[in-house]
Amino acid sequence: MATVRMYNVGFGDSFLVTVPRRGRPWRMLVDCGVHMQGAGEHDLDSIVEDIINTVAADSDTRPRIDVVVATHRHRDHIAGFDNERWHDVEVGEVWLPWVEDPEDADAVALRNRQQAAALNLHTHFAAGGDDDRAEFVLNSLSNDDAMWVLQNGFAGAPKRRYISAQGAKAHPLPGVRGGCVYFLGPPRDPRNLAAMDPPKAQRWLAPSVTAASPAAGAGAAAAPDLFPGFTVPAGDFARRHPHLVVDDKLLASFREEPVDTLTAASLLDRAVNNTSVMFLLQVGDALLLFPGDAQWGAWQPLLDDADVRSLLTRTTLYKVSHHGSHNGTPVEMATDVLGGVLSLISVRPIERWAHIPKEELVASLLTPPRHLVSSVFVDNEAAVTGVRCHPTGLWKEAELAT
Amino acid sequence: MMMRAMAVAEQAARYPEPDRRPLQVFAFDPMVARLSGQETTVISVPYEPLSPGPSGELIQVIDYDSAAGCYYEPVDLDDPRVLLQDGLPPTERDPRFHQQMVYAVVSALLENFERALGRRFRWRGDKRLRAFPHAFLGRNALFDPDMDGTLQFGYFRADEKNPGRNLPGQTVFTCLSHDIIVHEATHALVHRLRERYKEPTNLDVYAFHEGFADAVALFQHFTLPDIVDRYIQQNRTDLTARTPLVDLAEQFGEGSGMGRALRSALGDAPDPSLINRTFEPHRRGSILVAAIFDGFFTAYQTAIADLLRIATAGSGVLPAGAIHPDLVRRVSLEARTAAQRILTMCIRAFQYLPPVDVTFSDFLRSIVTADRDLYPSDEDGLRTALIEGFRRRGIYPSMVTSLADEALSWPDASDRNLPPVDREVINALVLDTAVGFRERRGEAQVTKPVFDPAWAAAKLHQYALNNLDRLGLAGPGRIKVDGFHAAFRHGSNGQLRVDVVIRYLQSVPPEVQEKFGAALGGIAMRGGSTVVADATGRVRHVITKAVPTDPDAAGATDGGVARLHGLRQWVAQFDGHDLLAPWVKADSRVVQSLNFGRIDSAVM
Repeated sequence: MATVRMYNVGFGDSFLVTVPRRGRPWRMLVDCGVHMQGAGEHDLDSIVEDIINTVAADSDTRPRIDVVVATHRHRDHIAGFDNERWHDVEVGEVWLPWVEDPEDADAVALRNRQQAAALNLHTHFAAGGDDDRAEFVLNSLSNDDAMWVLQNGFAGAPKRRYISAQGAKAHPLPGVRGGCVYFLGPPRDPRNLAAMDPPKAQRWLAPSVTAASPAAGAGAAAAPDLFPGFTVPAGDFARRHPHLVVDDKLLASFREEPVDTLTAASLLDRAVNNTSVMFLLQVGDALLLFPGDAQWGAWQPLLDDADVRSLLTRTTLYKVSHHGSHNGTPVEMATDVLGGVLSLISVRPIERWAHIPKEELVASLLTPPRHLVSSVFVDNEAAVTGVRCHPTGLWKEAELAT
Repeated sequence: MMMRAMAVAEQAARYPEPDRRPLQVFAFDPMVARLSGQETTVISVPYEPLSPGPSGELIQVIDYDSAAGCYYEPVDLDDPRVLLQDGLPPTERDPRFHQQMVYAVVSALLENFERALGRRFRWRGDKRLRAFPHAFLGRNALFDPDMDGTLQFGYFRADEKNPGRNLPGQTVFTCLSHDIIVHEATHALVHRLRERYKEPTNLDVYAFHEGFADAVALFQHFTLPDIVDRYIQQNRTDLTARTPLVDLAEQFGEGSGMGRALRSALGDAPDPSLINRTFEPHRRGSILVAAIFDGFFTAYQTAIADLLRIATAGSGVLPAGAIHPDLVRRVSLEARTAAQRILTMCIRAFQYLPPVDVTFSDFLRSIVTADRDLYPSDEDGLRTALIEGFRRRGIYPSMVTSLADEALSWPDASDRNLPPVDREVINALVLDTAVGFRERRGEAQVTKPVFDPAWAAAKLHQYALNNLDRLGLAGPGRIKVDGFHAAFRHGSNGQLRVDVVIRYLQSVPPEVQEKFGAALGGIAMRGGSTVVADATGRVRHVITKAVPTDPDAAGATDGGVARLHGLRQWVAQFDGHDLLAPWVKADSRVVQSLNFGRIDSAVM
């Protein structure tokens, strides 16, 4: 019997997996964070406190978690690690996506590209007075303090493991009898890396690029020198060539391209999401699938691999990817691959992201014999046997036969 | 007024008006020109008097730079000093050459379209296509249908780390890339011919727009004889070798840090299942391009086989060493003829395309129908080659029984029992088209317009109302006449063929749009028919798209219910792939996410 506890962080993820055994139970923490615009009714500190208290009750010595997984660097997955209380928690292993490996040149380059794109977008939105969107982009910027804890913190000198996709190959899971783990993402294959690359420099990059790299010249400021001697001020032009005069509104429209920036923001969001550690945890007969926030693009290589695909069909518990977004779970996955699973969805509706979670996906995951436990909805959960709720709604916990 | 007319008459008496205007351009782009040492060429466009800009009857180039907030001096192509040297010589440093190149390339493209369409081209409301060669600083160029149909070209600094064969950080002008100009202008032309193709109602609509624009850009390469000669010589008649001839926008692609041309006519190895896995419009469009070029390469190989045998004493295997220049010229002529023929087929297909919701299958069927009209026997096997090209790329026509020529053609409308179209309207349209051919661009219309379009539209509207069911316009909705014209073309037997085409558009009632619109992400629900009649008014073909109908509504047709179902499925599929969804309004997510500016910026 294993349990998976879903903390009600709001729009974010935090899951505590417990496998009982003789003596102290085996514990795994998958993510701990909340989106800046999706805070739940319980603040993150109280959730961190509850996690630590829960594992502290396991034994008289200091609190211990066997494995801490930070699926990817988004705030809604790691913000909770920016907390001093973690210094006293002993951790066996920390799993991070390979893109966080400080000694991997590819990883550093990719991270720098993502970081630069996020900074540029943030500057762009902030300069335009769109604080709301600026804050959304901030979710992609690495949370340095939380990342420091994950890379260097915790007691007990944990081993850091940088995870990349290994296909349908079982890896041992020390401490869990009959347990093993399959690493399904993020991919390292260059063919699949595109899904992680930040958006290419677009028009929105132009002003800040010039600010950042003086070598590129003064960009917009240099533009008047583009064709020395051929420049005509607007007034003169209109007087000399009245037949070429056009509406000022049309000319002004050349400068604005709001959708372009949104594309960039969404591409960046996905790029980081697709760096998620995706793994399948086998405990006896139970197969627990944790895909992080993988989106369209990261799933494709998995579904194309026959061995992995057949492995996925045996999933018994599914942590719904990307809070149930429109493309976090491919339709194919929901309709063809998954069987009678119990799904856990951690989400809180945010106004801007009105269709997260996506209705059709929720409906599909609710269709018997499937069950769905969510941090917000209450319908039909009573029917799900083996789900416990915290008295004040701090978490919900599912029990799984192993 | 009188004086001026006399002055014009006097001048005209002194010198005959020229027919053509030669203009120098980069054959591909400045980077390819520099690498090859000589790749500039002179193209000849129809003569019209021009004001500075250049500003002609159909095209107007306005050089406003939004990044610098200024204008650049417009070129006067009628200045004798410019005329003496076939326009300004190609250079990156003079914006007036940039304006000249945009004008020249778009003019040549328009002429090619007019030839294929068999009628004079006009923009909606007799406006002009306005092109802005340096509209903004950015790695993009776009056609904006909502801003009155403007072409906007950006310029940018080449990638610092991976500039390809450019100088790191050098300025790359999208308006100096032949392919980008043609691509964007083709968007404008397609938009003129089928305005509603800007509405993404299925996976293929935008892919068609993109693929068609790419195919036209590539085929335009084959209109330049000296360039085709050179690559045929260089690659010993092999057109499938990677050359600028079959690549799109090399400088742009390399300058953007992609390390290669933007796109290419040479797709991946044919894989019929690829199309089911490809959703992004440019990539899906590339499959269409690859299919068309498969057909072209096959046709070309067939066409030159005898020449090669003659040149090699029957073996057909070229010996080592340079090829005889006479052979190069003959082979090049075959290549250009085949390219022109296939491009013409593709453009002519428009006559049969439905007014809304185009699919690759519709396009293939229209190509076959249009070409069969003129060349019933397909003696040179071009049509067969094209059909086979489509098949190998997994583009199958829907609702046909076989891949045979006649099965692919749109069905004959004789069993619809339609009455002939109003004779007066037909006569007026035919006369108008005939008169249009006699007039040179840029001259005042000498003859009065032969008819009042509003009168014709009213008559044709009444025709539709009298024959709703038989025209496939059943179901609730408002009928509008979307367009009508006549077209003159020559068939293989030298006979003149005259067709009259009428397009009807049907929009669902506002309450239905309101009921489903939000769930469909803001897509407008429309159906329509393209009606093709001959010069006697007899209706030969009716190509219909049923208007989407609510299955619960009274008078719901099977076709209409199926259309709504199709729309819903497409939106569901779109939601699964689109990344922008969380950032835009839910009830207009599809139309906000899918527009030319955005999809071009995502890939270009």
